[in-house]
Amino acid sequence: MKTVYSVIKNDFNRAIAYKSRFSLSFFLSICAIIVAIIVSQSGIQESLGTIAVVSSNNVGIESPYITTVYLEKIPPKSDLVLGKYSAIVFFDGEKIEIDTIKNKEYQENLLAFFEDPSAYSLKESTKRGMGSTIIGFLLMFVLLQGLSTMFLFSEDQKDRKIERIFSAPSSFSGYLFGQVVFNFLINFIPLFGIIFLLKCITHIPFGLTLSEYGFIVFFLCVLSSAFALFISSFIKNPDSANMIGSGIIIVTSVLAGGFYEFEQNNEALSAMIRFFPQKQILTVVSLLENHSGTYPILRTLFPVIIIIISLFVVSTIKIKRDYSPKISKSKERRKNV
Amino acid sequence: MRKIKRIFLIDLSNLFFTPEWLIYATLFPVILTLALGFLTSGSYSTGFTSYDYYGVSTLFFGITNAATFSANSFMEEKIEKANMRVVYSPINPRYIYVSKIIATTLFCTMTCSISALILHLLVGVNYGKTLVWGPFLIMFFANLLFATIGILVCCIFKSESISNQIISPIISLLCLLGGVFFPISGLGKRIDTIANVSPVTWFFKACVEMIYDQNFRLLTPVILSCIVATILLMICCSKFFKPEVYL
Repeated sequence: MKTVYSVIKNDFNRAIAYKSRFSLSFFLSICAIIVAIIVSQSGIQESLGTIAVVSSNNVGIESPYITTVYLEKIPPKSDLVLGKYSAIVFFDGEKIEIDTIKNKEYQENLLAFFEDPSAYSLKESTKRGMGSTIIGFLLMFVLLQGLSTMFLFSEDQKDRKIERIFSAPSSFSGYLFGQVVFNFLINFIPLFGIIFLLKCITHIPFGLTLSEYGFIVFFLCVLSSAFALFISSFIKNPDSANMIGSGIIIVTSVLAGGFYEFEQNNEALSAMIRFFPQKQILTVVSLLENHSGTYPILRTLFPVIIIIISLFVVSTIKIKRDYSPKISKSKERRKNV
Repeated sequence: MRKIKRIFLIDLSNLFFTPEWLIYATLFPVILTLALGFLTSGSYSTGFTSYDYYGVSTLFFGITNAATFSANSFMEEKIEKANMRVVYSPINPRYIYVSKIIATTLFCTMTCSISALILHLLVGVNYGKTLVWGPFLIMFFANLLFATIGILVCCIFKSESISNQIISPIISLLCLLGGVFFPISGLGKRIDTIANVSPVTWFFKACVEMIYDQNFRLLTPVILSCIVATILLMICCSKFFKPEVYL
């Protein structure tokens, strides 16, 4: 316990020397949260999106499912590609023509809508809650931040301080635990602090309560610390570790649907994605939003906890193996041969 | 000129002969495109596939990574000693970072072109029917801009690992706003206005307009603003650059 305490204290002292760096990462988390909140406020999409109607006279369609923009000229195709409009609709007398880059199902839905706007009803509502949007945006940033604040540990590895610590008469697991706790605190405190302040000062609806946010952010920060330890234990060069780690984080977070829920039409892939801890956390958020009981939440969190623990265990074993004197000696011997 | 050429060649070969970087720079956009494209293939039509979208957008992710590569090549451990020699030698120490910027720009333009070629052959991503030079020019100047940003961050923070770790969240935020991971203008007007801050938005917009509308109106402004921004950032670099750091 003493080791853990002194490692954390020492890390905080070292962090003060890197003031500019930590204040910048603090600033970045503020940016990420603000972007997330803005998206969550305006992100309630109409199910059929914004549609450009090319017609000489106003067709006069109003519906909660749709936003229409009336144009006289045909908009360029790049507007469709960039997502400014979901579709372009031409009214040519009685005939309706639709130009879109989206799938057939969407085209059929849209056609059905324009044929009889009042009768149209959507089969399933896929509206995301505010909490899911905010957490979905924060997912990737929290994980990236955790990776970057792990640098004190990678510095120890690079400067070979870790070998001295290993041979010192103190608990090595305690040292690793201290590093992880420090990494957790330096991410969790500012992030939760900002959410707390925003919640207290402004009266923007946030979707979840403060304690629920604390709960989710807690798990996210633990996950990010575990992953950072894992990556830096396997890839010793801090630059490559950072590069590969951020690559993995970006791909998995996007796939897990943090920003944007993809329509999944592939069984194998969606089964694989269900194992991503990010996906599990997002599921927990949606469960919290729907006020479902404690049991389903715990059941969803269980795999996340398993993943976190196994990341810790694997990286601890790996680090211990790397720095235990016996093995490093045998490595040297092999080199000499 | 001969002096800078020598440093430049060494920098370029250093970039090309580090296998991790070469693989990461070439294959990461390809893998990201294939993963995202496969995942979203259901929601796009047959005339315009998801690969067409992500094939172009993830290239910009590769381009923003130029900042990471330039930061790496500027202050990596094995280069620090070589840089120190340049500082001692009777040539302008600014050649150090100027050559790194040029080398990274060329390296990233090469790797991005290779990834684009792979994607075009593999999943038939549309990069314009006849006029491929437009997107290519934007790619080149965008690489130049981001390589300079990487060097500037290095000059300010004076450590490669710090700048490396600062750059990656910034890059992902810019890419996110630029619509690299999903079309962001679908999220409403307010986000659309914020997205204009990110240079990636403009690169992407210019490329898409060139590819699908043969509309070149954004090409010159984007390239010119890239050059102006690069020059301004270079001036900042020379203000912050202190060769004593290597000692």
